[in-house]
Amino acid sequence: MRKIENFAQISDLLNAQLKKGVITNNFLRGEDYTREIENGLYIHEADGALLLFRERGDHLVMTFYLHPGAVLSLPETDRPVVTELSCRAKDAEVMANAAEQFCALGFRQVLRRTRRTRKPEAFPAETTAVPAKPEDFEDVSHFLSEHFSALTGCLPTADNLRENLANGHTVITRDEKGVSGVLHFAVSRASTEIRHLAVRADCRGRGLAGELLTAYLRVTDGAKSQVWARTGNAPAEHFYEQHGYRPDGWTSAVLQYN
Amino acid sequence: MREKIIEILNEICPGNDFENETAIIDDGIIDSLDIVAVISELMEEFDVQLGVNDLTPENFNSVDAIVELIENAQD
Repeated sequence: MRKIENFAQISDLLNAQLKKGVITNNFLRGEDYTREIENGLYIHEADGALLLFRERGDHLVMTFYLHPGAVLSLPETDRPVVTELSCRAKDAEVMANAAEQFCALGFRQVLRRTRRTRKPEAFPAETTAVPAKPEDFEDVSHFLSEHFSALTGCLPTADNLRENLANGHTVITRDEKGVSGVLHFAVSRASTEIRHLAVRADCRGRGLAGELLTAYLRVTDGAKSQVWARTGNAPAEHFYEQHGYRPDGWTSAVLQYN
Repeated sequence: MREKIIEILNEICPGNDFENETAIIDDGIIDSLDIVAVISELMEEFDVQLGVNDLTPENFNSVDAIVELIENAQD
């Protein structure tokens, strides 16, 4: 693996990937690369493939470009590597073939996710959940680490979480024991996305997830909302369906190596 | 140029009214996977060089935006 020190080192190589028939799950943009290069970004060039590895401490997140007829290889690493292949139904076969190629190298599928979308519509007015503040960083970070996998849970980096809290893009519920629920989200031009939603185990069944969702919808003014939930997680699927979320055709497979 | 762009978009993602659409990326009409195909077709058709930094919703949300992107790349 070759470490990338600045965007100029990778710019021409990335541009060369924009060819007919290329399959990719790499949707980083200019400002994303700056951040990832600071954190640690590595590349591995195989025969007809470019693999990018993003540093995440105890594991690496991989994105790729596969040209037709690529002969894949992996760099040596003893750390877990995680990659997510997401697509709409019309591209499912293409992505499945790509997944097969990675599994032939030793990756295995660890879970699938289904995306659901909620159209802008009315939502309840009252909620007990409140926006988290920057000083809640330690509590929120700990809560997310406790409730989501470090490898497959898409946890934010510390910098990302600090920025998220500063922007008011997390809502929480609290009780006498501390944070009892967290909904962490991202806002883009035309939609918002629930990144994490969890309620402490001893508080489940009391409607806190609904309170968090209401607070999130209030903060985002009920804008179009999307969420990726583990396929087959019946309670989560039921919760989102109850609140107006519907599968929109996008699914993903999360693969892990090591 | 507009007609050719619409033709390319329809080939990759048929069944959409690209002529009047103003949120092609934002509304997910062209998805992340399609955009690589779109950009490679545009480069070939108009003999321009586009790069990863051009892959922004602003550049692909409408046919007018794509026209402007290509015209800028041709300058």
